Amino acid sequence: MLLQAVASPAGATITLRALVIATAVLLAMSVAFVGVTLGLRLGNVRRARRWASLEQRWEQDLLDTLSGELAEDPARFHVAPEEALFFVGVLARYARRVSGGERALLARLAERNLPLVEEQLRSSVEERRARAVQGLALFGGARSEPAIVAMLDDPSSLVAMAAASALSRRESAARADSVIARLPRFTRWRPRVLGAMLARFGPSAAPSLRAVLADRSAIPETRAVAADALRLLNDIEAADVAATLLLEGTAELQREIAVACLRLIAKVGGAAHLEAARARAQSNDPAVRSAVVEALATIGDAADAPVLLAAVDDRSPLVAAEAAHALARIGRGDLLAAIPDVGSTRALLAREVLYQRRIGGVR
Amino acid sequence: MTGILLDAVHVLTWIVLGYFVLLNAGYLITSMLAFGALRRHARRMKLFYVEEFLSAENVPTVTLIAPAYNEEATCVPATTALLAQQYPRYEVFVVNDGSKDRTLAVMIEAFDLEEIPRAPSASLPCARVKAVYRSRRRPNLYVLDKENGGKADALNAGLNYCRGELFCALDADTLLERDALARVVRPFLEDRTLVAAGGIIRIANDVVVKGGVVTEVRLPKRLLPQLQVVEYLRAFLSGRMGWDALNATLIISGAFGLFQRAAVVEAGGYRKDTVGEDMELVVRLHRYCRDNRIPYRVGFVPDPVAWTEAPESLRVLGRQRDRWQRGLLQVLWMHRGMLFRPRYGRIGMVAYPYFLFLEGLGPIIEVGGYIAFAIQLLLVGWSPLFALAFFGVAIGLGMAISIAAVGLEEMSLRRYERPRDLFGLFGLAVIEPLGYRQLSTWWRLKGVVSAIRGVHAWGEMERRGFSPQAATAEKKEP
Repeated sequence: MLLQAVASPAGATITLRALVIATAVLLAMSVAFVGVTLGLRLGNVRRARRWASLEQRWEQDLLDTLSGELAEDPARFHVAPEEALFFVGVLARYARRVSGGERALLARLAERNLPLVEEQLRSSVEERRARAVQGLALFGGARSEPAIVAMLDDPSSLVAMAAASALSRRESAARADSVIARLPRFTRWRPRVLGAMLARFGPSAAPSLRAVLADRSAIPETRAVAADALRLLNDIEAADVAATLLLEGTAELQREIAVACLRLIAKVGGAAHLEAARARAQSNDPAVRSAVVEALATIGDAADAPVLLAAVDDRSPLVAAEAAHALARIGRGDLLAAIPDVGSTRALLAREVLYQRRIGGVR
Repeated sequence: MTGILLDAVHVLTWIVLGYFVLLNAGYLITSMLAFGALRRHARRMKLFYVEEFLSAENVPTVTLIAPAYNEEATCVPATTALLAQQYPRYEVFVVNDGSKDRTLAVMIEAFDLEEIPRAPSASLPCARVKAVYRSRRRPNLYVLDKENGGKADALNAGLNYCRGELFCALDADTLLERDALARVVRPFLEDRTLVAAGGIIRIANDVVVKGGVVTEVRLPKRLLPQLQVVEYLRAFLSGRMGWDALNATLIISGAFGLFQRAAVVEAGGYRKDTVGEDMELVVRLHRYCRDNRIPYRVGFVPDPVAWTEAPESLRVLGRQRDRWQRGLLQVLWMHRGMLFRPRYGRIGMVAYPYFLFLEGLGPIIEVGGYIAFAIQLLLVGWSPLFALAFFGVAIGLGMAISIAAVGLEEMSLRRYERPRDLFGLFGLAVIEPLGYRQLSTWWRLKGVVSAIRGVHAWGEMERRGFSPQAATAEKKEP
């Protein structure tokens, strides 16, 4: 059809015209792209120069104010309304490196610009809202707290996480409860990040975290994160909760909760929790067996040494390595040294751990 | 006879036209998606403070695995550069893959290595590991000495002996920017389901490198690597960014990719029977996770940068492209069961067909198109003007897409700061479709033929080194 169309004089003319028009459009597009790119370059260069000159102007006064050479005077910085966010950004860069009185001074310098930052909480762009949350968290103090707590319910999980992270900068049970209540929103994040964030709320967050861990209706991810946070908080009372869960829910307890509970027991448990750890020793899951080994190495007694030695032969290399290190940690390097050096993986592992112990790198 | 030929040409013409429309529509769609994604990413990066991130206690341990074969000239500076990463918890595993030169001796001497006992923590298939060394001066540097087995084999050996939660697969000559690791790890913290992520690869020819760090970015002096700069910008900023926005990333470059170690070990590690082992691993991860109903994501992150040396001769470049095309087809053949299977989601229904029909078989169709075109000119009597107009459309499209990629670079990452480099990139975008593209198609067609013939060789890569003074090294892959 195309060939016939092209072959006929009229068809050829139409096709040729269409091709020429398409070429012209594409060339025009290319020229437009070049124009846009050059515009971007000019805009970027101009913006960078402007910000650099502003920064240079503020920086010297800022350093002199911080060092006490200049009296504290926010008016000195001559910040135009359109420069307010950038100014707060510059202060934030310094604020991340200092604390105490210097941080408070920066907050006072930022104060008159904070209403403009607060306006950004209503921006349609999620990243702007998140940046505003970061700025308010650094400089807004208690006055900004309700606004930040409200952002925990922002439709964007990025903004909600920025708010949660901002709230965790200060120890507070009330702040912790606000975040813990919304934990299911954040389960896409890596558990260790969430655990560390929750632990920053301090020991006053522990009761709420224990409640989450014990709550069988809560989703497994949040319960495991709560256990992680309790471990980082060294919450001794949580060991009982973990042990109960390990003993009661042998069959149905999800893997990540079991691992988190075992690691919690390893950190804060005692002889009373040994049975809970031992109960999981035959788990099919290597992650669980590895956590059992870790727990037995820290809270176990002499009766557990043969169990650990047997675990050096575990079918999972990770469990075997954990067991070998555990034996070295409990001072039973003699059991490792007794493994005959016949070139097996087990013997190699024993030699590796003993070597690390010799050079002081034992875990 | 002429009638049959004309009918065949007729059919071929429609196939070529369909291919042309689909391919360029694909490029346009990924470019548009990349535009939105890069803007979003640039805004998001303002929330990310590398220093704060690096001081965090909870970052995962990363193992960098760098296979080395006959790298005595470059292994010390390359390893020194890897050891300069700004990341709190990482170890470097250089895998000496049975080098015939003094690679191991040079490493032992330079880093004061001692042989240590080390048990494997996985049992992926690989050639015999003869010894494991650790540096007395840099305790996070390990060197594995093994019998030769190729790149995939060396990566498997590294995976067997490393213990990091994440591992980063590198080429021996990859030069990572100092914050590259921190930047590529970030998305793994934000998304527990992320199993693999790739960073951007940039051309290192003639950039200024001091102490293992790129201190000045500029376009290469020679035309061939210059053209590859435009090609890479298009491939990464328009292509991979766009595919990432579609959540259908099928390729992570072997020169720089970060993976969850456990996921890769469970999926079986690298396969040794393909020259496209990097892509094969990613496709297999997709397949493994979907088959086992594991929630997962494979992504691309545009801000972590790895620099790599591009071929400067047509001979070496041709071999590289031949190998890439062969690898692509081998991998697609290995995983042909994913084609148009709804259970593989966008991978099976969109990404796989795109890579098979438009990238994999594209060279056949393209060359077929040139032949059909010539026949039409001769037998049907198309005017030269008509031919010129048709080429005008093809070249105009190529040009527009390349310039758009330069625009994406300017919008997001802006590495080429010198105005002359920016204008140089425009010039290259204009000339790239005039000859270079056709040459590239020819090399890819040879790759298709080699794939059909079952060729498995890697070919040679001649290296100049990152600084102009660096000695020329020649690497021969088995």
